[in-house]
Amino acid sequence: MEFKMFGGDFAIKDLVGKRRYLVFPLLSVAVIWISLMLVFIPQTKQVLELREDLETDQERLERVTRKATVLGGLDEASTNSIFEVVERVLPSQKPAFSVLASLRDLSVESDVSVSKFDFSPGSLATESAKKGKKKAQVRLGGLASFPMELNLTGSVEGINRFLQGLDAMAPLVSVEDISLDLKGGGISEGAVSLNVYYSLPPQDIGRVSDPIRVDFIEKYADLLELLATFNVGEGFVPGVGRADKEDLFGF
Amino acid sequence: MDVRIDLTGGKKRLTLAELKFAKLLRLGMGVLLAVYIGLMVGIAAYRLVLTRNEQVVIDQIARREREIQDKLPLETRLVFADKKLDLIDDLFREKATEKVLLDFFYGLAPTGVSLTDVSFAEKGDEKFVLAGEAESVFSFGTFINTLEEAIGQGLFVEVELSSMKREANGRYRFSLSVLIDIAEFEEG
Repeated sequence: MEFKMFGGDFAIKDLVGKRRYLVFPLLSVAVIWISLMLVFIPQTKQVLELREDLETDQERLERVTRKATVLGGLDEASTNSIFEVVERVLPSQKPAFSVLASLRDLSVESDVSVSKFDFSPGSLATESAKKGKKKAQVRLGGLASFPMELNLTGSVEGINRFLQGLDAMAPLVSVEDISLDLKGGGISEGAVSLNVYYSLPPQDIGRVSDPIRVDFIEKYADLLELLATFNVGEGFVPGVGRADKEDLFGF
Repeated sequence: MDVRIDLTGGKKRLTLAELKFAKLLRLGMGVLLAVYIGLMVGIAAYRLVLTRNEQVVIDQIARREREIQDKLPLETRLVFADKKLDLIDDLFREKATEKVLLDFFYGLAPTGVSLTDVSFAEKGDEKFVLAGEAESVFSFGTFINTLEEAIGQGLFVEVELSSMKREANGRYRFSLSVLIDIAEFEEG
């Protein structure tokens, strides 16, 4: 094949015949091709992966930096005080003793005598608590409770004060049922069914890079203020539950 | 006579154009090779920079995570408090709804009727059991009229008298089951 090029006759066949002119270009192509396959493409892939890793790690660094800054800026004393208030109201263990202490104090304040109480918090884990009249209940979302029944004797006003006091008592209880029997001489007898609440600690607190919420302190400021006024029986020391296990010797 | 002698031994010499092309081809390939090598060096250098940056970031992450680990007890307390406050808030809301319902029932009782027991037939159910005492049939009738008015307002779906008994002291002990329309209450 001949054609005009560079101002003269040009034939590929002639050029191919003179191999020494093609050695360098062909060698170059071979070197480029081989290194492209063996070096360039793998290298480029590694660089792209590195970039992705770096981006991911930079995001992680931002998250942990933010979290470390938030944690570093927290006032330890006030955080501990928030925890203690919450722990007193909704303990991490079944609050068998603390609820008795609080009820004892409340009955004295209300001038009501507790003639009988019956409760079955269960011996070990809440699910195994099958003794007694009712089974201890475990609510989804970490809220657990066990039932308690009280027989009260006192004036109607006293029983009323006692019932109102239950709303501001730690640990948290809810009145499930009330029966009043009006006796003569201003004396009444009442039977109250309560649910006593607690919350087992979560299995874990999340990954170290998970963001930490502190806005709840502001959100629940009023609630925290209210909870801080809740009455707790004397002699009760708030305990810190373990994150992985329920305290088997809580009773 | 024009005689031509081939001194090349029969091999054809390249034309000037072909020589130019061969030179250009060599030059082009040289440039391509140089650019390619430059690119390889560039990528290798970029990779080195990325690796170093990655290491710096990893070191910083490790340092920050150590700082966080040092504050683990504080974080644990904060997370527990957060989760528990959510639970307490939910419980208070639930209790508030129940209180509204119970207050409503007690408010319905006229003079001469005292409610001694108001309870959910089942927890979270819309059926309540009301038990109490009435001084006379008349006061009990007034109470029933109030309940019927509540049915008329759509608050109650159904009221059923379960039992009624006259006690030795002349008072009437009764038990009623009331089915409420929770949606109406929530709207109210």
